[in-house]
Amino acid sequence: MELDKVNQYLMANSKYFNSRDVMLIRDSLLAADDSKLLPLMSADFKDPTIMLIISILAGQIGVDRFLLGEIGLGVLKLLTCGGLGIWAIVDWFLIMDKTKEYNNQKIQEALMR
Amino acid sequence: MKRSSLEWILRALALGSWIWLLFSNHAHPTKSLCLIKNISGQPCPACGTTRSIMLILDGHFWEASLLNPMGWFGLLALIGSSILLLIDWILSKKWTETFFLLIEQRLKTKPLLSLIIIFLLIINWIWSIQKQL
Repeated sequence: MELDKVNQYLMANSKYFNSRDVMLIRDSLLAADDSKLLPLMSADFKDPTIMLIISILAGQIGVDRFLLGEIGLGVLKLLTCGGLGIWAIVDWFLIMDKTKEYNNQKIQEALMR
Repeated sequence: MKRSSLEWILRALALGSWIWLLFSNHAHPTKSLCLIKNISGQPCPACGTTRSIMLILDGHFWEASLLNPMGWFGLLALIGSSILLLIDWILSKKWTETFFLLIEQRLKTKPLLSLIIIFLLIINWIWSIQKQL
């Protein structure tokens, strides 16, 4: 892909990724061809800030984990009352990073398609 | 999710649950740790599970089912996962994670099963709110 397109894409979507992953993503985007553009545009990224709000409001019943596709852990969180409230609070601090990891996985999947 | 972090979460959950049960058995806490219950005053879907398990362990099976049927599920899951985790720990296997990921995959690929579970959980939650657990 052309450098301009890659930079534009990263500028528009940088909030979805960890800063440590951005360089790697940039390299893989540069190496990819233009046919990957459609899967990349249609990739379903989750907004870390929205996930944090969801985690604070409904993390106790595991909604944040369900949304990240970790259904098993979501069910466990639901059944244990958010790990007696402790796991729910720990997740307030971890969920943004986890969401960015999830988005990174999504972009890798889109590039593999 | 990395397998090693999943293993640690499962271990911590099982150990925490046993400590909580032991603590509940001796101290009979009257104050709930549940955030939802403490903030809104209404029980969360899992409220009453500890009390239900305590009743099962005391031999009051019917009362436990009436209080919160999820106690049965919680106790079975706790005992089952603890046995599997112990076997994993002693024999250096990965059975708990494999079993966990298998169930997760089953839930992901069978939406009808997930819908039935969600429906049952919501009915149970409404019942809990009605009972004011």
